[in-house]
Amino acid sequence: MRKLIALLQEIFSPYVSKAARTYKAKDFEVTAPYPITAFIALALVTIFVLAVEASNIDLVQFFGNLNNMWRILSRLLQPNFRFLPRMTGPMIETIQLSVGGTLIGSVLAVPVAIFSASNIVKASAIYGSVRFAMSLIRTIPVLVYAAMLMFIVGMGAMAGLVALSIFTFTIVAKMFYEVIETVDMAPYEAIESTGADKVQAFRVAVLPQILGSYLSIVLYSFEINVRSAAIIGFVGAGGIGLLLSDRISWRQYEDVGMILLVLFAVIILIETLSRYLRRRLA
Amino acid sequence: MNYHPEVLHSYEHRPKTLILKLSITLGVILLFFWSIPSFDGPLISESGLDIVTRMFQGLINPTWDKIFSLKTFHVPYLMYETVMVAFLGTLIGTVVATPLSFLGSRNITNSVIAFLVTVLVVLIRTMPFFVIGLIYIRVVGPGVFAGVLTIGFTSTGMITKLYTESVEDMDKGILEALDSTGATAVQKLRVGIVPQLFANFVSHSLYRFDINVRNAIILGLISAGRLGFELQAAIGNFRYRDAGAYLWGIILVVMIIEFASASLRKRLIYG
Amino acid sequence: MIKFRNVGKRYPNGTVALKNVTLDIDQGEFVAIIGLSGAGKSTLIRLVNKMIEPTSGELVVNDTRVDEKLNGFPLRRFRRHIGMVFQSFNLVPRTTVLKNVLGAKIADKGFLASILGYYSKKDQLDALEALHKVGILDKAFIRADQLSGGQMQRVALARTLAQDPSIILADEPVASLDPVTADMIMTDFRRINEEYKITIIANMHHVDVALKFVRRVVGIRDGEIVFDGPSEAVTEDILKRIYNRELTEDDIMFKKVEVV
Ligand SMILES: Nc1ncnc2c1ncn2[C@@H]1O[C@H](COP(=O)(O)OP(=O)(O)OP(=O)(O)O)[C@@H](O)[C@H]1O
Ligand SMILES: [Mg+2]
Repeated sequence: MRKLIALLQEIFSPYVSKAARTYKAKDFEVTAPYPITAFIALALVTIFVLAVEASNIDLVQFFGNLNNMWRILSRLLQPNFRFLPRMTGPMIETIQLSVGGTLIGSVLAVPVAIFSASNIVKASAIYGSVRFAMSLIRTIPVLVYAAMLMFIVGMGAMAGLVALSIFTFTIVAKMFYEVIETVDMAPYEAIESTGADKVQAFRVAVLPQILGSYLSIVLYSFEINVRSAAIIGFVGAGGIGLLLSDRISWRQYEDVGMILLVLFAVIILIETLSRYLRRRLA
Repeated sequence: MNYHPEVLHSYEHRPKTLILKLSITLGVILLFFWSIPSFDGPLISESGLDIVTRMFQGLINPTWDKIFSLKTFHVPYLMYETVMVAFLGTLIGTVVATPLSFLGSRNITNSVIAFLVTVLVVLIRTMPFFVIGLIYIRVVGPGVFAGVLTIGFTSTGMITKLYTESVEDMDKGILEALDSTGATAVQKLRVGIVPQLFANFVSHSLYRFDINVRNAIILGLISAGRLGFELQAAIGNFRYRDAGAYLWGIILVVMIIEFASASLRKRLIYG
Repeated sequence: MIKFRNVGKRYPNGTVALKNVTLDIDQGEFVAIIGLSGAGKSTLIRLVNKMIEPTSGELVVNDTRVDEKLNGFPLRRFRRHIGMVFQSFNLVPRTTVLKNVLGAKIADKGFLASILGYYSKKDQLDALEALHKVGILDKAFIRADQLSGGQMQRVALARTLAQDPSIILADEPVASLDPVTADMIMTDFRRINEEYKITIIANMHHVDVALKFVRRVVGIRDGEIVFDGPSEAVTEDILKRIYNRELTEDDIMFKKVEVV
């Protein structure tokens, strides 16, 4: 017992006293830094144990049903090409939703971004509260918006459009105000000195500096929107997701495979195009 | 006023962009009208407007009991569960991505393997999130466990991609120096590789962890998580004050984790 | 006509940048303001078009009293015919030289034309003419951030000319240029002053540049005018009084100071 206490003391004393971490020689002494790694490791292990407990992990069921998964996957890999005609409509709707959401959201984001930029709006009370409100709106994921809008505007594409617009609005406003804050304000002052008002000076001296970045941000959010629009249908908000979830619940995995194949091609195509344009804008 | 002939000449020869600008403007306007879904009647019905008002009232005056009680399935517990699901999912993603990322780095393996890994990453990243979710629900039934698996699977793509970039950016000078001293593979790993990559890897995983918290919430919308599920159920059953409580839970947990992840990453990168 | 009567400027943080400045500048004069860094040169110049507001005294520019009551539209109208040139040129990057010069015309536009950035044929011809006057018409359609320093300052000068100004305020216009380019830009200034009878007030860091190009020199020290007279009258003693020390290499741009 006494030995055990001594051992514990040996282990834990560096955490408690500085003296225990200090090595003294005749003419110098060094103090080791606080042994924080041990704490981190301990914390991670604790979180791991708690997390396993909280998430009802059932490995028996997982491995028991794993062959189920292989069956699904192998059926996914045999896409049903005859399904193609039935999915073109929803696929186009998905792209429409992403285009519409991107356009609406990124136009609405412009004034908000301007009011969030500390170099344009000098009053910290204004840009501070605008930023805070925006960061609240931004925390709610786009799919949660879509799910809530289901109840408000009803099933269908309109809910998806509004959800994607809200998402675009928040992300473009944030990224755009960060760009605005990097703008060189000296030309703005020069144009103001010619007797221009603030709007005119902004148009002449700030806009050319930020237009390229703005378009690039819009394209970036479009890329994200295409991916979101593809799954927004799972909660009933239009697009290909509606069909996907329908085919999954009917266990028509060959149809699902076909949708995934087309979706894959469309996403890659749009991303390639958008990245090419963004490089041109840089 | 009389202008100098050279001035008139350059005015005549100015680059004419009006037609280009007009056609771009027209194109965007057409794209807009093409993309708006048709709807008849008002955008938002009277009952829809009523729900919006009630939701706002619910946000301002939520069910406080649910916010301040530590009981299972009340808001703090759901926030906790969400973070735990995201943590485990990120851990799975990290564990799988580490070997994959070395296999995918052009400076470590041969380009065929690297290419295959890249293809795998792109496939995982383009797989719609909910499709994976529903497949896992088929395998282990609805619930947070399916959420953990989904998040683990989908994280693997992005984490592998980010890790691969770090590995490819790695300074190989140290490895060559170690080679010349005849160090073993394990020694090379411990002295030459781990210290260089550790902070980067942790930072990438923290970044994904932040995303995964949001994903853990929305997985609730397909019964593979609880916070999103409870929110949806509350609105569906007209319990708007409960919905407000869950929304605050979502806002808080996302904000806290976003802040924690960002500040930890800053610490990791700038010492 | 610019009239300073006992004008003072105290910044909100308490720094007194100018005290009791009394100064008359007639239409068409070319005045250099010299003095040490921090003496108050920029403050003096920026008072003239009310980029900074005076805190005491009376300032009248072209019959307009520049005081706290001059605001909003009257202030903007007042500024239209006062040009300003800066040490760092302050051109708008990522856009063409012509668009930069046209920027001087935006103040006259209505809301819609401003937003759309629409300029009439006359505006464009005026802007090109201004570029012609400073000799860089050939750069009109090039991006402004691809020019050399001297070219950029010429564009800035053209922008000011497009305002059709009666006064040009220049804050260290050649301080960031090399001596040869500085010489050319100053020659442009002098020509513009003589040909169009535009009043020019220029802050000068380098004494020799001021003395070479400018007829009237005003020396400030610690916010007060300590010398005001023709450049021929500037002696070593006067410079010592303005600078409170011997001249150093820093105060000179060309190789040797041309004083009598
Ligand atoms: N916005 C401001 N707020 C507070 N003090 C200021 C401000 N601008 C200038 N000052 C102070 O006023 C004094 C005069 O400054 P000013 O810029 O007019 O000097 P200057 O002669 O132009 O100097 P330089 O050659 O460095 O440009 C300095 O002491 C300066 O620190
Ligand atoms: Mg100055």
